[in-house]
Amino acid sequence: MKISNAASKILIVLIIALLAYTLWSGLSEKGNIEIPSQLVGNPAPEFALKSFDGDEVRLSDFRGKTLLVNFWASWCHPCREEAPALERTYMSLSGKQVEFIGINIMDDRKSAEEYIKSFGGTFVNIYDPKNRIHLDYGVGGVPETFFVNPDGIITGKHRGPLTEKMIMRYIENATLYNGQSPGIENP
Amino acid sequence: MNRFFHKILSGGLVLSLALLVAFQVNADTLEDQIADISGELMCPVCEGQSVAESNAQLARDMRAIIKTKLLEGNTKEEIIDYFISSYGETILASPPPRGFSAILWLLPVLSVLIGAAIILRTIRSYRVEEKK
Repeated sequence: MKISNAASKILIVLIIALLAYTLWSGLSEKGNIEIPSQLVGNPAPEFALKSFDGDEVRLSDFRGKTLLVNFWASWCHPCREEAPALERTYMSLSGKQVEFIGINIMDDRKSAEEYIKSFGGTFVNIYDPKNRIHLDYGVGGVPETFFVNPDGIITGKHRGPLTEKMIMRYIENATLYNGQSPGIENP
Repeated sequence: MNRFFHKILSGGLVLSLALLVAFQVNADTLEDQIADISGELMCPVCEGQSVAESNAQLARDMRAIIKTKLLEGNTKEEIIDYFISSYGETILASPPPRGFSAILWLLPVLSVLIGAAIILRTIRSYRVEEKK
């Protein structure tokens, strides 16, 4: 009978511990919409798509340069919010080994063209008529931006609008990335 | 001659039926496969909806890619792996039991075992009391 009592006490303690752990784990989990990118630290998926100017753009053509790959749509307000920062940063980095690529998704071409015109559009912007490339990059919504180092490895991902300061931080990290330093995601 | 004609006719009918069934099964299979795979994936921008259930643009794009990949000859596992490689295991409607999700899988089993142990103990104590 004594052993049985001890066993039941252990059982109760175990149940409480398990419930506490479950509760703690549940509370410390981020919202279920936040999906961390699997791609940080891995090669950026290749693409070959036409730019709005009609030129074919391949990701591999930019090997040797640090890249910013920005997914956007003309109907997206946060994209409009970050567009001037992207434009200014791109201009300030001209002549350096850094390139920006805008990828327009889930949009109609005419609205996208108007958007590019209104924000300068000095860097290359491409259009994905098959709506496939954003799935290769695990994009959930717009804007989402990936930073790729000169070896073609994704070193950072950002969800939401970027500021010039953030862009510079991601680019610096991508340039210094050596495969051992961690990638960054929404710092 | 009549018998020969009969055989040809029967053979033709059987063949037509087989082709009809094959085409029907094939057509069903593609839609079923899309529904099956998209039912195992969660829509990344929806709250608690699978890709099969959601009407969000992203879910529609995902279903379209599933169809394209099936037509290209990819297997269900390959397609699911493709989504895991870009979205991570959280894209799965039933993620493999690891870490916190392992506890979630384990809890019902443990609850049943503990419940059964409590019931058995209670019955045993009643019997002991009755004997007394």
